[in-house]
Order: sequence, then C-alpha cells, then structure tokens
Amino acid sequence: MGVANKTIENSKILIVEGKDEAGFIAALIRHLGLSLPQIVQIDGKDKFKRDFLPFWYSGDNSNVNSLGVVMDAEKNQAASTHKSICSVFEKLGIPKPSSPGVLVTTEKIKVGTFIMPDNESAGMLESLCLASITSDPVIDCLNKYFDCFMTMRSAEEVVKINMPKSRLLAYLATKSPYANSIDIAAQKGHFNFENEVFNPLKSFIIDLLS
Amino acid sequence: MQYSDIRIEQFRSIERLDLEDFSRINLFTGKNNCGKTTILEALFILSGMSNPQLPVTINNLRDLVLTSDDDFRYIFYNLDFANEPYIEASLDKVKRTLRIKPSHSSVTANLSPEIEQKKIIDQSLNVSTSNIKMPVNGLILEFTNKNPQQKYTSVLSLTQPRFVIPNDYTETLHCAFQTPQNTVLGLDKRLENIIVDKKVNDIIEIIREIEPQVSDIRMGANGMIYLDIGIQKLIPLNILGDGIRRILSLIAAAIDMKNGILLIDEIENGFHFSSLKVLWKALLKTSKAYDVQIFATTHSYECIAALSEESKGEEDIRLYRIEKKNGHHKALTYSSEMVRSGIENRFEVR
Repeated sequence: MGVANKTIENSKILIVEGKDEAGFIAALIRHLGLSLPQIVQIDGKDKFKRDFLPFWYSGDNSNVNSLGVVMDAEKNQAASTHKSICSVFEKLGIPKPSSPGVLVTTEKIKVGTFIMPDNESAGMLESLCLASITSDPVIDCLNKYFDCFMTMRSAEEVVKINMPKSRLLAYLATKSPYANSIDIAAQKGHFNFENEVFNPLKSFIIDLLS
Repeated sequence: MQYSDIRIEQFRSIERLDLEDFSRINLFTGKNNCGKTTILEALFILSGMSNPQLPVTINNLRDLVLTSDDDFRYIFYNLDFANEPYIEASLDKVKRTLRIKPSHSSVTANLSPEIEQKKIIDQSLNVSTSNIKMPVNGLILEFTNKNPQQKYTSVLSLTQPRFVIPNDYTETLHCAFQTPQNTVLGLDKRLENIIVDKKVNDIIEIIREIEPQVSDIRMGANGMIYLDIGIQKLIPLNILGDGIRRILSLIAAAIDMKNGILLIDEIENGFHFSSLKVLWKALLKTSKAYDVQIFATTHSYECIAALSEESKGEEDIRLYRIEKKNGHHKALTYSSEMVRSGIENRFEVR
C-alpha cells in the first residue's frame, strides 16, 4: 500500500468528473493561455457529496481563492446538480453560487459551478462536444450510422446506450491522429475551442481563474 | 459507557477544542505537536477525575518527572497557573466536568532586616507587580458528575506531601491509557484476570490470526506468560515478536476495561502494516463484545486504511484530524464513509 499524497496544493481548484473531463478542461485552459489550476477528479454529484469533504480537509484550504466544480447534468436539469453541489458547500461554510455558471465572489474566495452541457439542459461534456461539431459534414455519416444501428437493436438495448458518448467516440474514431477518448482528442486539437458553443465554459473558466 | 463529546480548555497547549459525535472507535490524526496526545490525556484525567494522582501520571508518561509542585504548570495552558484547565464531556448523556486549580500556600515570615530596609529578597513574593504571586504547593481538582451543583474536590501536593480524595464520591468508570512505552506493562496481571474469568479463549482466537498454532495461554511463576504452540514445551511469550505481545496487551487492556474507555497513543507503534488489520479486527471485535470505547492516535496511513477496511461499513467509526493554526486548535471530523472515501481516493487524512 502506498502513501497518500493527494492534498490541496494550489490556491485555485477545479473539481471535474473524471479523466476525460480533466484532460479536456486542461486542454481548454492551455488554449486560453491560463495557468493550470489543481484539477481534482470526483466522479459525479453523488460521489461529490461523499468525496469533496475528505479532499477539502486534505490540506490547508484557507489559501484557496478560486473553487470551481464542473459536473455533468446527466439526466437531470442543471439546477438539480447545482443544488446538490451547493448543499455540500453549505455544510462546509463555503459560499454558494446562486445558479450554475455564475460565480459568487467574497473577499477570500470565488466559487462557481458549471453544469454540462450548458448550465440548463440535461446532458454531459460529450453533448457539448457534439454541439461543437454540428457543421462538420461527417455528421451526416454519423447520423446515418446511428439511424441504421437503431433499427438493428431492440429498444431495450438502445436505451442502455450512452448515446452522446457513443456518437462522439464514433466521430473521434474517424480522426487522425487517432484519439480514443475526449481527453486525448482535446489534447490533439480535435475540438475547435473557438466554436461559440464553448463560450459559456470559457467565460466561466476565465472569470474563475483570472 | 461512551463519551459523546468533549470540551477542553486551557489544558497543555490547547486553549480550546471541542470534539463532538464520538463513536465507539475514534481515531485522532494530525501533524506532530497538534495536540492528539493531549486529547487522550484530557479524556484520561476526566475519566479518573477523583484521582489527583493522574496529573502526575500523564506527565510521567511523557517522561516528565515532577520534582516540585511548581512543575504542575506543565498542564496549564502557556505554563501559566492563571490558566486553569477545564474539561467537560458527556458520558452516556451525563455531563461531567473537571477544573484544575493551583493550590497556594500562605506565606508567613518574621520581618527580616532586608524587608525592614525595603529590599525585596524573596522572588516568590514578587511584589514588583500589583499582585503577590503566592507559591504553588499543589493541585486542586474540582469536579462534578451529573449534578453541576454537587462539587467534589481532590487535592494533591508533592512537597507537603498530601493526597486527598473525596470520601463521598466513587468513580465507576474504568479507563486505561496505553502508550508505546507502557503497552506491555501490566499484561501479566490483566491476563491473569482474564484466565480467572475464563475468557482466555477470546484472546487465543485473536492470537491465532497471527500464530495459528497457538492452542493455549498459561501463566507461569513471576508473571511469565507462556503459549502452547503444539510442541513438547510451552514457549515464553517474550521470545515471540514484539507485535504479538503488543496485540495481546491491547486486547487484554480492552477486556480489562469492560464497559469503560481505552486510550491508545500511537496505536501503530511496533506493528508491521500487515499486522494492523489483525489488530483492528481484534479491537473492533473486543470493543463490541466488552462495550469498550476506544480513542487512539496515529500518524499511519496504513493504520487508518486497516481500520477502514476492517470496519467494513458495519461499525461506525470516527476520525478527527486535529489542526493547529496560529495557536488555535480545531478538529475536522470524518464519518466512516468519509474515511473510506479519503482512503479510496488517496486524499491525505493524516
């Protein structure tokens, strides 16, 4: 068994859902020319309730001056995920932002949540990435493939598929150099961060980290 | 009997610290000199508050030998007798309180020629300040149990010497304080009691987790402890490893503290990390069977992980990470689930 070594190491903290999100956000922050904050992975809002406190207690949190949480709305509306995160903040005496995408700023700290894909709808990072590639002609091919796929599988099987993730991975499979995850795809420049669909996320990150 | 909370004021380096929501198993972590051992000491003297010897004992356990009553200042915040230590806690919803005060002797003397000449020669009188600082000649332990109006008093003086305990108070709470230095001391007596009470099989079952051949434990002359491992002769416990002696000692202490409190400082001390799971398995089982509340300190990540793993979500545990910043103490409280999360995610919990 190794020695625990994850602790608060930076005054700017960004909590994300997993490896894909961490790599994607890091690539976006580099694109913006900002210094990387400490990016911490906590897998979903349910685990956030359990895991954030041990992280927040893992080091001296009194020096943290920016705290952002980027989570997927999944099947919920963004407000539900935002509320769930804020309930944890409240227990720890961390200022609560009024709504997703909006920072609350006090003398000591800026705090905000960004709920994928757009601070309103159900969905996830993949949904946002798919929205950024709608003008790519290859989308027609993807649509045809998935239309065909739907006719080949039962409704029970189809409902189990994470469609945004599958569509995005199918899209990335056509890219060169090959990228089998959003994390790698973002690092290899397969997403156009100048696409306007990324603007709300970019504004959130700039406001949080500047 | 279980404590549910404690408040510590002006005791050693702690100006004030509140700990709440204790469970049966409680672990204190934190950096060196953050006050972990002091919390155990506070629990210890509160548990035996009628015994004025305990302030001496806790200093001795730190290798501090008290040579005069003035040395009692070691337990006063900032070493200042004006900062009287105060400890209160709820034990099975009954509040007990303890205030420790210095006892002052009166000074009488004939006027010396120097005083007549207005020269100050006795530093203890220190009349350069507005208050005369009277020499301390002992400690007064003023305590209450259940009824806050009913105050009892114990007194200890080293120099006189004097030892007064109230004759109208009987302590019913058992509490033992195990440190790395004293863990194996008293094992013979405790084991003898366990053998007499026909509880030795409980211990043998635990020892078999480490030494599967052990079938019996016997007492010999002069407090020697022997194990039967199936060979022709019994073997002395002392020739086995230090770890097995320590586990045996801690389990014997837990059994001895039935319905009481067991305090263990640096619980991981002397154990290979592979034995820590055996230790916690044994302590969890014993504490439940004998209704013993355990408070332990550790610096060891492996020790915390072993407790988290062995409790398996069945036993509610607490971890308190003690932090000291700008001279002020605070406790960060982890539930069982949060301890598991910290271990799984490899977040620092020590």
